[in-house]
Amino acid sequence: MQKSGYFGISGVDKIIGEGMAYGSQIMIRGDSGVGKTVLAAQFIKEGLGCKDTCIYVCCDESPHAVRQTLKQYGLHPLPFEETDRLVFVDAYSLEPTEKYHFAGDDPLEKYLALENRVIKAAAGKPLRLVVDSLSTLLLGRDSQEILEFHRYRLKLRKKEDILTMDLIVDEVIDDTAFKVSSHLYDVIVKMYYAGSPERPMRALHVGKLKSGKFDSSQLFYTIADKIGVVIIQELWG
Amino acid sequence: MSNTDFLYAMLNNIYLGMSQVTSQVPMGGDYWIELSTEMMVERMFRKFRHLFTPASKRPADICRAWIDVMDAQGFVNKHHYRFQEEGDRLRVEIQRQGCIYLEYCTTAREEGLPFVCPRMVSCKWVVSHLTDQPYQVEMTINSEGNSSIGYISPAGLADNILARKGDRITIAGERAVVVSTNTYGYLLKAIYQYAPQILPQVLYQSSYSASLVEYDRVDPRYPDKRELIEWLLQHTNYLGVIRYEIVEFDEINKRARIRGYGSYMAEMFLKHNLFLTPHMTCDSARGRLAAYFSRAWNMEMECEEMECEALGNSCCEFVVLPKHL
Ligand SMILES: Nc1ncnc2c1ncn2[C@@H]1O[C@H](COP(=O)(O)OP(=O)(O)OP(=O)(O)O)[C@@H](O)[C@H]1O
Ligand SMILES: [Mg+2]
Ligand SMILES: [Zn+2]
Repeated sequence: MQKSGYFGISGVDKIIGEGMAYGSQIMIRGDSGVGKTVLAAQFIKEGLGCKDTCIYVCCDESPHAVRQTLKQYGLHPLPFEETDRLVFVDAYSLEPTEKYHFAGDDPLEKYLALENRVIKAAAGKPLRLVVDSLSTLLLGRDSQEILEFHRYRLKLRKKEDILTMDLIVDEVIDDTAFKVSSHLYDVIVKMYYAGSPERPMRALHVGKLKSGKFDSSQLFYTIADKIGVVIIQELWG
Repeated sequence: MSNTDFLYAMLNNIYLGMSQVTSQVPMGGDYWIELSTEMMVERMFRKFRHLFTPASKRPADICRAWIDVMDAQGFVNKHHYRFQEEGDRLRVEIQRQGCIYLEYCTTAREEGLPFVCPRMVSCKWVVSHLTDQPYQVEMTINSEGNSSIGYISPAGLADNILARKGDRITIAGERAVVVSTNTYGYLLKAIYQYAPQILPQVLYQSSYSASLVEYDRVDPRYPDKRELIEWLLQHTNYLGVIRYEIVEFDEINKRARIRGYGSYMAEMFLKHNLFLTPHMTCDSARGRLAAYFSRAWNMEMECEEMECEALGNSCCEFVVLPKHL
């Protein structure tokens, strides 16, 4: 059965057209504070609204902080966690606080094993996986290790029909090894600051690599309480 | 069958017929039977007004004088009635034996039809009329006992009544308009076309705010929070929105689980294609439930939809829980 998924952000979803097949891989990249986590929260909210099972790997903030973000954008995570439709992996805290914990210094192999375990526990259901952020997970590691891990992992997730979203903080990653592998993604969303210093704006681009198309239109957005990323061009039909 | 027996049977069947009709019309129920009864009483009252001489304007005296009039006409036996004032309430005890409405009373209860005791209502109407104050009847249902016990007490606010006065329709005294799902669907579609991103939040928030007002209006009438919420949910059903069923009501742990059947939102979203992919739709129900429980449990509550008819489930299911958790 081919199911297709959306971001839950109109404007972006319009560009995606028919939706993304489960098994697609999405990269969200942008500077710190630009709104990647907010976008990921909406992606989760959309997934839960479709009854998907969602896995959120927290590398940059604690699961507690991400729960607060979800609440701020209109989703109470608890009932979904209680029914195993939302699962957090804590790759942030030094000491284990959640059922699933990854110590940042451990080898990527070990991370992959953990990710596999969490996915296996939810097998058979439409799955969304968010890693926030993958760049933190890869930080300071050997480029050969990164390359191998990255290729292998995405191949696995594709085979398992998982809608995967990897967040990348631009300034953290300038590793060529990583950049080379960016072509592995089906959809890339680049989020950035636009406008002038007096009138700062946020904007994003949606790129579809597989089809060779890069939608060049610049979508301006704002971040609204209870909703999240709102594409300004969408507000006026 | 004697002529009188036939008339009694007719009278009871007329009441049962009214009950059946009011249980089938939107916003129907007890109130309409009460209203019909009051109109009959009013006609009787006008006819025998000259014989009516209450000792004072106290509810007990009014009722006694009225029953004396009815007794003198041979309609009732005044020895079957006992009135006793308890604070601002009047306790009314009526012997069931020999009551001409007995068949209506027992059959309506057996069949789960709306029921109001015409004799209680008769007393209530006369008290309201004479004192120019709204009163209400509360019955304690005790079909085994020999007598029916009820209270006539000052009424709170208007009920969930759909009424028409001239060109205006009102619900609980507030102007109402009946909107077809076609009209409402296109309203939603227009919002969706102009700003799809905000539609769920608009539905949630508008319903939340409106539901707080509804809650506050009904609140003084029900000391029991669960009864109050059940009343409000029943009201939503009367309006044809959705039929709710409370499956968990845990006031100690501040948790509720509620099912919804026949959600108009699910129907509307499917009919007008208000999403790109099958999706939970009942954000207005979430807003409503969050509002009711926030008030009832005096704490900021939130509501999530866990199952939805729009996703092919046999019902919608909502969980209500504290925001701070
Ligand atoms: N309701 C709101 N209205 C406007 N701006 C908001 C609102 N809520 C949060 N923000 C802003 O959104 C930004 C948060 O974005 P987010 O946490 O998603 O960034 P990020 O890209 O994940 O950053 P990082 O890489 O540091 O994790 C903050 O700059 C915050 O000020
Ligand atoms: Mg972030
Ligand atoms: Zn629903």
